[in-house]
Amino acid sequence: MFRIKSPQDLGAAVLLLFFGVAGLWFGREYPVGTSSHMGPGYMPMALSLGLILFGIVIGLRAISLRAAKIRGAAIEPIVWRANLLILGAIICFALLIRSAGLAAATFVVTVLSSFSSKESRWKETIVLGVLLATLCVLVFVYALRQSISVFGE
Amino acid sequence: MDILHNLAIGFGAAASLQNLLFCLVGCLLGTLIGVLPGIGPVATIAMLLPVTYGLPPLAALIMLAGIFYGAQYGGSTTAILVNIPGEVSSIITCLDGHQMALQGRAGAALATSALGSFFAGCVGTLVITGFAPILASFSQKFTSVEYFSLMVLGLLSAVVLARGSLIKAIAMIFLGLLLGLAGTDVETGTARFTFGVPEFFDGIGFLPLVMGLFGINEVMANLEQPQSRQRLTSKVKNLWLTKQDFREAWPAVLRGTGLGSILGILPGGGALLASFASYTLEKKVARDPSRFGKGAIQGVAGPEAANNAAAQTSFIPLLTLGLPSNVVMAVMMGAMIIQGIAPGASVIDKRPDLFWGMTASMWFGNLMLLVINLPLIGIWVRLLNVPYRLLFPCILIFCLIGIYTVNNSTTDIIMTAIFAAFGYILNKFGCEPAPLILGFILGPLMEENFRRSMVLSRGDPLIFVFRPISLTLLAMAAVILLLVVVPQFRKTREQAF
Repeated sequence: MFRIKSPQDLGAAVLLLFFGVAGLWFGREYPVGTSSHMGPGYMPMALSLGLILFGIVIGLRAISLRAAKIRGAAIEPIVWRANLLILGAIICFALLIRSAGLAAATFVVTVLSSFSSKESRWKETIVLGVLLATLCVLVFVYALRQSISVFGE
Repeated sequence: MDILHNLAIGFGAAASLQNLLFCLVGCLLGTLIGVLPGIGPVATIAMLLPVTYGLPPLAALIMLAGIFYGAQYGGSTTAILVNIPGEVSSIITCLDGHQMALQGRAGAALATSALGSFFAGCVGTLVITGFAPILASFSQKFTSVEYFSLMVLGLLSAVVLARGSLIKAIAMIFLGLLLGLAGTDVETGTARFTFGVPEFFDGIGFLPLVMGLFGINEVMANLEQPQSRQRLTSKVKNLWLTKQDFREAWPAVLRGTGLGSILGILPGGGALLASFASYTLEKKVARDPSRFGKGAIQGVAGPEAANNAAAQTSFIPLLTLGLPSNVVMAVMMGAMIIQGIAPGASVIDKRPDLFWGMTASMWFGNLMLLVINLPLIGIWVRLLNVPYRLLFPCILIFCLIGIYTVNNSTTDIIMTAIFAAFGYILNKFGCEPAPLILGFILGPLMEENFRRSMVLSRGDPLIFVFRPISLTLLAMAAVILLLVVVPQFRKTREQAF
């Protein structure tokens, strides 16, 4: 068995291997061509192979066969609630902007994302949501004349 | 007298009422966001990019440039007053600037920073005027062979001068290059990595990528590590320098300006490196180095001048070679491409009004910052008291609306969420997103130039070594890499960052 010397580096290695393999797999049908007449698959293949190589090198440097102390930085724990709220707010924006319009989308994003901070207060958040929705409508729709519907289509 | 003629064109273009107005708006917006901690210059420019879409190219670039150096100014203000660097490049300013503020000399520190930056900005503009045309005419001899080697050099030196693990940074470049190739292959029309989604035929959107990896990600990182936010209650008085201050500061400003101008031109250089280097230099030449860190005025004057000069001259590689030397410049490059301008030597020839207008506007911008920033400092400081819980939803929504209005595409928003999550993972694994962005924007260009070189040489990769300019560029890249491997240099690099 091997020991992990640097968890962060091992994670990075796995990530690079993943992208390298994915690049090779999804690019497998693009013609590679010859080096004097490179096909569309040439560079993607070269880069994917490069990523795999980097993944292997970084990965090997991150582990050790002998018992080793962790030297590299540890992977900090993921804060699920806050980050999922932010990502969720972004997805909501995508879902709402056409159907419900800018005002509603802004309000929902503000309220949802606010609760990723522990310091947020309900009343304050709702006031901020209303203010931001008004401001965004005024700035982007009326002042900058972007083609976004205010209350949905 | 070419330079005078050119400057005349530039000032003529930049001094129109409309362009002056956009310059002012850019500077104000830049300062505003620069003052706010937790949102860097990359996200600032990317966030305000959509505001410039409707403008003519020159006005758009002037405004973006204004945002950029406005953000630099704003960052120093918070560094001095509350010990929070609004931008990374003002980390150094915190050291002595905040100490000065604690000693009741905040006004002097702010004035030094503003005047030093103004002087450096003026010199930076002159350097661009003198140096850019030379570099541009030199680069006209470049064929795709030289361009490819130049990009190799640019990318490598960008990671050597950046922080963090070198091998991971180079791996990030590769990942960026690969992501940059997604979309329709220009030469053959083959759709690559599009998974049949029509929105992907044009490739991965630059703005969703930058916003996800920087803007949104900064918000996520800030929420995870809530900083104790100091408040500044004391008033800033006496915004002027004593004779003694002036005598101590001006040599440092001169040295900082010189150092910054040079470091800004180098690929991979930029404001951050310049301010670090200048601080080290000031400490070396000072008669009494022990005063540094305890409110030495030179420790504010030098780095502030250096980072502003470098911020200015880092436009040179972009405008003359089409090579962004850092992520901020990559975003500027993205902005130029969106405006239909291909950055590079041809800009000076084909759109002299654009190139010289932008250069001249930098001078106006610096003047405006000097005039507006010092009197408005009270307002900027009050902004610092806005709690982050109210701030980040605003940042988030402006980012999202900005991305959405580019193509009115919800796919772009979803992509932003994906890249934000991806950036979060990169962060956890200690990978820097900056090299990825540089790789991404240069990916298609590198492929095109490599392809053409290979056609020229009939598939012989030695062509990169047989051409003298290309060989020189590659040799420089090799030397830079070797330097990093040498233990002694590696140690200084680790210390510096």
